[in-house]
Amino acid sequence: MIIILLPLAAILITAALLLGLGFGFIQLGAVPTIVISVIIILWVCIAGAALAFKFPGIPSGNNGWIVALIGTFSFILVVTGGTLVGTKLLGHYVWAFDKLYLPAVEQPIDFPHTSHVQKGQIDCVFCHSTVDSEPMASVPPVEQCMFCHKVIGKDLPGVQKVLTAWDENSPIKWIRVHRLPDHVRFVHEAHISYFTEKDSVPASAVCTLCHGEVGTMKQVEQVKELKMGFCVECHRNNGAPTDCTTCHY
Amino acid sequence: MDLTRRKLLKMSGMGFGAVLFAGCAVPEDEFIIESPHDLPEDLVEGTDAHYATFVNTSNGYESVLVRVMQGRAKKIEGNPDHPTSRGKHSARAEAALQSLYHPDRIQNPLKKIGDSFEEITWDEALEILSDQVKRAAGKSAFITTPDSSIRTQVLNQFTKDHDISQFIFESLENTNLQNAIKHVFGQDQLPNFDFQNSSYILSFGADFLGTWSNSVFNSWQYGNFRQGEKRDRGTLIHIEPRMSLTAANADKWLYNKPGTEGIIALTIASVIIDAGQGNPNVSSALSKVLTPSVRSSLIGSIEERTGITLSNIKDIAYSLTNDQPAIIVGGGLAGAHTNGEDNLVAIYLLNALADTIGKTGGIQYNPQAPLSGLNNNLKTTTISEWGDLAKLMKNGQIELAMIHDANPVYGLPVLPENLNFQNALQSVSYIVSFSTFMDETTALADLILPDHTSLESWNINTSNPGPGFEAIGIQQPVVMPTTNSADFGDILLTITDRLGTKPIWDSVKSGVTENAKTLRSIMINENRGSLKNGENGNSFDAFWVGLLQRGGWWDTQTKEMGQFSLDSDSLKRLTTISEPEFSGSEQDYPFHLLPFESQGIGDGSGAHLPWLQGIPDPISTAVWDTWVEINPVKASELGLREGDIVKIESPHGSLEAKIYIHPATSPDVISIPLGQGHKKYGRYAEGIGSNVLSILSPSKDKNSGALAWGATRVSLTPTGVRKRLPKNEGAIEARALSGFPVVQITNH
Amino acid sequence: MVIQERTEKKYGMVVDIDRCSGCQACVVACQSENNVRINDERDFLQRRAVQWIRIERYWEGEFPNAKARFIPMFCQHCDDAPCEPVCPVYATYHNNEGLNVQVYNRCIGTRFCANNDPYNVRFFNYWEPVWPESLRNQLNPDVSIRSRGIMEKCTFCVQRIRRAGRDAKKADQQLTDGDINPACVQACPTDALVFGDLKDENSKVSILKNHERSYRVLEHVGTSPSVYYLKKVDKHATEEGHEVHD
Repeated sequence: MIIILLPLAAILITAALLLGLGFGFIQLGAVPTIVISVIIILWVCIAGAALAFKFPGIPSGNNGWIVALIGTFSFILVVTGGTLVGTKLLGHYVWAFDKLYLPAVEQPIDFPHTSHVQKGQIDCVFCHSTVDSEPMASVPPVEQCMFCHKVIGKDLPGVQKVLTAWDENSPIKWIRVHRLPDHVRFVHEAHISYFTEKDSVPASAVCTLCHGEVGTMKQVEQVKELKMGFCVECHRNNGAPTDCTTCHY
Repeated sequence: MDLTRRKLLKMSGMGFGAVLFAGCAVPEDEFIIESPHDLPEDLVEGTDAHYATFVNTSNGYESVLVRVMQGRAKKIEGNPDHPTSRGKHSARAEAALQSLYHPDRIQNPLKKIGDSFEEITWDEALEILSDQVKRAAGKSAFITTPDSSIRTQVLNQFTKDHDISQFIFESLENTNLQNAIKHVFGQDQLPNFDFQNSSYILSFGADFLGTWSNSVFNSWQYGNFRQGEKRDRGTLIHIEPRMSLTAANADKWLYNKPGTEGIIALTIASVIIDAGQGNPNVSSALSKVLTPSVRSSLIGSIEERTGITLSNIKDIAYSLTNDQPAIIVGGGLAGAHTNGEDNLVAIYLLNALADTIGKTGGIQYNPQAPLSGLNNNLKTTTISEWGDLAKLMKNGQIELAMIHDANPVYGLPVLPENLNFQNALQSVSYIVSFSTFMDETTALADLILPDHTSLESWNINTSNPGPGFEAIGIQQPVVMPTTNSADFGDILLTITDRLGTKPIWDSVKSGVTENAKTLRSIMINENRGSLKNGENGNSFDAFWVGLLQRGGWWDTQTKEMGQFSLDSDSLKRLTTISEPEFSGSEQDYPFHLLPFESQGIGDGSGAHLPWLQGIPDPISTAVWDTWVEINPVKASELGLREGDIVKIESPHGSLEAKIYIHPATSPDVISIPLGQGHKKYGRYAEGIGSNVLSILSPSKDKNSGALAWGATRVSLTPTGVRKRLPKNEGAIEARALSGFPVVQITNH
Repeated sequence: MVIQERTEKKYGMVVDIDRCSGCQACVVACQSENNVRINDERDFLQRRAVQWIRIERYWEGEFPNAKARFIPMFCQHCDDAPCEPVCPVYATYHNNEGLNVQVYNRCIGTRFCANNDPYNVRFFNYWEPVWPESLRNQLNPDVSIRSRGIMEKCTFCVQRIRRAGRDAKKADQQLTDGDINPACVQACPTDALVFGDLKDENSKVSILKNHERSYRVLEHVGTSPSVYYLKKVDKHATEEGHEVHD
């Protein structure tokens, strides 16, 4: 019995550990993986303790190892499976879970869209100028910021960083918030033209469909899931092509 | 055994190992978007701009459009406006992108310290260069390649000011062709071969579809020649000792014994004269030299001497005079013998007899280039002159050698009197190289000043031959320089300051601008050219923009009628066509060695580019290697199979290469492609194959002294080792399955 | 609610073998445009070199009557493609423009499609394509880079087709014959390759497909390819003992 069950159990445990931790690391990142590893170590210790010491009701000593093994194994499955399946996979269906992995990002300059859009009443297209003519919306060059900021707000720390970048002839390295995978070719212009023509609205009214109310964000974060289902649903509703090579080539 | 707690803990410990694989995560730097400092109008993210320029090729240039996205060159496309490109381009032009972004480019000026190179600043480098030039005045040599661009004006002024002798290097010399053209047509520039309007092309060794002359322009013409609208399909006959690309496309490929092209041309002429056909003046002039007895002896002995049957000769002679317009071209192997120049003179004279000169569909004279700075440095140095230079070097009489765009250590075969160029060069006290890549010659240099690549330079060039009218190309940088290199012309102009001479221009760019002004005055004063006044405005700036947009300037109306006159000198040459001589005796060296330029890597100058290395040779489909093409019957006689490594030995060297069984090779020749066998030239070229140039005998043409590169005889010895030859074709020779042909043939 | 616009297009090509000189310009142009991996010696030795378009050379006869025939071979975008029904994950299918589509992100690398393909024009990425840092500057951002385990093949430069469609829509014009040129068609110096819409009667491909020399490769297999070839003309074929297919 031992000769069959023990190696099998060892293989199963190792496999579960490898799969779970590896998968967990990719999907969840470092912190959850470390937490899960710690929990597993604790439980292995507890399983070991169950063998070493006598607990009422639980077989111990040389027979208790079956219980310890099965118990540890099921726990690992439950813990990893539960965390992963629970959050990441359900995240496909529950945006809130997916959102856990898309927090607001700390940018090199703390650019508040609120003061520019709501207070300053600047149109989206003024800065993201190529959104209605080219595939990429583009971030504006430092020169664009300087149009106003060579006069306004020079005492603000953020503006000072812009002025420094201008003087030093260096670019500002923004952290990308909305990033589609490499195998997707998304063209802004086609989408903007479609909606502006259909509903006769200016381009900036269309941005919120996918980017949310950026004008109200102090720090830009992704608020729509932007997964393929999101795109295909809108395509189906609007009679746009759903051929794969529309976006994947 | 009983599992104790000890054992369990031990086993859990062994099993406990989290493998963290990060292979699927997105790299950190892909999450950064830079907002650039300022945004030039033509730099929009996500979209492209096309710039017209040209890339340098071995035959002048190819005018191209470069697709640039965010400051990076992405794709090369032919320039649809330019008359020699017509929107088409070749594989070599495309590979200029890889040259621009090559990982092994020399990043900075280098100075040799001990055995290795150290990076220095441009200031230091220019200082050293000027010191050396001053020191070695009168005892310097400048080695470069044939160049018809205006940048030669800078070089020529430089060599004149400092008494430097120039040497122009070309591995498979074109000297015989240039001399023959000069003899027959009386012009320095090559004539235009009007293939697209021709009905019958007879080609002697000129691989015009592959590696000879303007292959893109020729191929475009060939497409129309075959299936152009509103014309009948033309006929192409190709006579060459090996099946080159053009031979493969010919309606008839005729194998001739090497070096007998001149005899064949004379025999064809004899048949035409006998039939009373051909241009009457030329016919009567020729019959003074080709007397009836000479003619009958040629006709009687043709098959024995050359391997071509009399009936083929008669068919050709008939078609040349009845299937008009016809055109006869010669080059490549036809001129690569000790009687090469004579061969080519005879071949081109056939045009006079067949009345093709100056006609549509025949040979058309090319006008002079519209700018004086063009078509200057085209006279190749002959092998004998290289031998003389090597002697001077070995005797310590050359103090400074400067090399630009040439790799003579790799490309020069064995020199006369058993001299070796590498040894000779090493005897020079100071060597400067302007190369962009660390090739064999550059590795010997003491100072390296890396030049820009085609896509980062300014220049104006014309092609030789031109398209029958004035046409030039403008080269402009399409990207910012990607390394700390500097334009070669600019380097020579900058050091004039330190050397106390007068620069002809401030920079090469200003030279281009000055020449643009000349073109503009041609437009205004003579009212001709591809740009019309007022199209973009009337200022020079408007003209300049128009020039750059089009990528060049041309005038289709400047056709030159030319004056063909048959001079007695050419006629005399016809009597002196001798049998070709070959190095080595037939017993010791039974095979003729026919080296040929590879379709991709050419003569070796493209070997560092992986796209070109990865182009299968069109006929053998072999890649990334050097191989020996041998006749199947001969191979089975010797017991050879594909991949068998054989030793090829000539009287002057030996190499080892793999066998390729080639159904279209004659039993007495073997062919080996050029281009491999680099010891240095970047990661994609090093250690691959063998250099066939290193075993060529330094045979000379008896008239011009040019290298007779088809005159080497070799022996073949199996080594008993066998390795697979990398190729595209399958393991079995690709032949059509009867009944299921992939390529279907029709005979009408 | 969902009224999908049926695009009445069927993209196809015509290859004139009589014009093709075998120069390989199309091969390199395609590799440049589509981010095809650099094929080194190992790839050719293992017969795993990726060349979306290749020039096949067939021998006929023996010396001195040997002939070499060139034929460019690339994905034929067959109407009855044998590669399409066998994909277990529907990564390859025929779209309504007549293209045989390969969706890279669906592919799981079973290679069943390459197995079924009679023209051998499907290529599998057995290795991760790696370019040296500086050569990555040349990569085309309009085309996905296929990683290891993905099947790829000629797409008729679908990125150019999409771009032409967008440009036409922006300029409020219809697409006309000659607006779309895949990289190989654009490069070919002899004009041997022609691309267009087979459903448009006036396009060059539609006219050429009815040419007397037109045929399709391996037609007896029943794949109904969208690529038509024009036979090579050889007036001397029979006298030199070669087969003629009229």
